Amino acid sequence: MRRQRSLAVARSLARHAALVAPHSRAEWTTAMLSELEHLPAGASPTRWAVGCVVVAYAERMRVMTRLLPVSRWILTIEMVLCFLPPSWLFAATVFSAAQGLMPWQLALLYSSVALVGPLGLLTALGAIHFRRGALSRMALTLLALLAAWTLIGYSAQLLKAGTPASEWWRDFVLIGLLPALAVAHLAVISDVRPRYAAAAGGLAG
Amino acid sequence: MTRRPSAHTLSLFAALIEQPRAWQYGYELSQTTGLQSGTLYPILMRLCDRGLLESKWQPSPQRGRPPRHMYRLTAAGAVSVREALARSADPNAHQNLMGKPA
Repeated sequence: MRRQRSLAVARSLARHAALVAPHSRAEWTTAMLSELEHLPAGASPTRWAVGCVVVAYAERMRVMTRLLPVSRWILTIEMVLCFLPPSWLFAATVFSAAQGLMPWQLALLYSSVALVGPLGLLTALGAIHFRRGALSRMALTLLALLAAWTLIGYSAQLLKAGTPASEWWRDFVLIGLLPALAVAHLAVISDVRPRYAAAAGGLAG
Repeated sequence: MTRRPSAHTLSLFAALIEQPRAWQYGYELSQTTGLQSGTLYPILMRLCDRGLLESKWQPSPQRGRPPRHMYRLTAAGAVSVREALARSADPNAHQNLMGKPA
């Protein structure tokens, strides 16, 4: 009875795995699910089926990140949206400091936190339009460090200032989170595109 | 930079090389290596993609049950796996088996 119930749950999970798995791995999904029907009495069918689900999702994600055809113009819009808020903050800080409206120590701190905006925007647009989205390891490392600094610096400042939750969320997402996500996306593209292009015989790009 | 096979991959290599020409089931390999299905099958997939492993379907002798997928090393796979296992025994050696295209 218990075994039958466990098998029923496992079969439901297996059906879900078959739905999620990419078409290119259909044979492997069938192989895992067939094996489920041959497990001996002592083996846990649920555990086996959970493994099938994990593999199905992993393969689905692999296919999605490898073959997602993102147009350079959509990428451009994404990068502008992600890097524009910190760029605006950087420009406003520099302008305020130049006008003498902000002490230079504070301006230095603010501009360093927002530096990922203009630098990320220029680097990303250059890479998207002239280098097929690929960034050098050094550029990626620099952007990742700046994005981390922005995320940490801005979060710490907001927490310390005790800003209301609604503003905290808005500022955190616009200034801290979006550039970090953009840098992460650039890292995925830089990692995947050259391999994909090579696998497709240099036709992709 | 070269990549070393993971400990999981090495344990699968060890299981496969014991009987390099014998066909083995997924569950059987899972039992031999102690790997769960979620760990075992991605490794089997990559090895097949790289031409180190071959697979076939075998009809089930029990009526009403689906056919089973079976695996064994290819000739090239057996050579590569022996090399990988030999190198893994030497901590100073690096090899590129898992990074090498088919």
